[in-house]
Amino acid sequence: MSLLRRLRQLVQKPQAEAATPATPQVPDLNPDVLFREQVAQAIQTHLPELAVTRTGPQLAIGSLTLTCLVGERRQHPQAIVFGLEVRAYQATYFPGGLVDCLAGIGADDADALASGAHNYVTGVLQPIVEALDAAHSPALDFYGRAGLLKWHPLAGPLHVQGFWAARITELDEAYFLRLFQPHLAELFEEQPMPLAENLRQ
Amino acid sequence: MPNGEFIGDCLLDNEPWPAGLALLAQEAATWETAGQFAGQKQFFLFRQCGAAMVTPAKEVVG
Repeated sequence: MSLLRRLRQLVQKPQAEAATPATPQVPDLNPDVLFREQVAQAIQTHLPELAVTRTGPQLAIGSLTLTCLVGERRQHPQAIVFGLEVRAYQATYFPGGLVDCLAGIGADDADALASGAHNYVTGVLQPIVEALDAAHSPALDFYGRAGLLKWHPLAGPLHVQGFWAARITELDEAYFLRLFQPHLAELFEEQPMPLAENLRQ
Repeated sequence: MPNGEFIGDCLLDNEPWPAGLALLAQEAATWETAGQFAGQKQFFLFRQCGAAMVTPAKEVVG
């Protein structure tokens, strides 16, 4: 009888061990860290040609650095909504940072942060990267003050919610650009022009 | 908003741009959204022609 019990113990022991993960994954619940990692993941997914590194609380992509911040969290009956902010810095062109505030909406916290990260990477970071890579769409070019300076617009995709979600195909992605263009042309100042030797830094 | 109220932000160089926001408000007032919430958001970046850019952002992975 004791032998039978012993045999059962030998047989059952591996099953009991298998039920316990060897290295349990403990998620980091700091929202700023979660959001930063979601942004890094979205970059890997949508802009896989970019090399992302972590430098303290920031993400670095070459000379571009991103600070990802999570603000207010609101729990609605069917969704979690985070107020999110991402600041992109580049020493020559925007040393003070390009600040984008957006909402992360999802079924739970991780889903909401991932949604915000996706929208930032596809809607804001991608045009920034294209601008730094000297890309542009000639059809969108326009001239500024006194027709002396020519500007290359880089447009992110039009993000829509609610009524427009089912009618996105009815919208013109360049509409707002054409709406603003005559007003912006008078406001734009000359941008810093790096010296030739700076191009190889 | 479903009640017809307009809520928006329009920033230029990280600062509120009232003239741009007024243009958006005029535009939104023409939307026939049948009492539903309707939202649009878009980001633009403008690069001066001839401002040869450094190319810091694209690196080959691996």
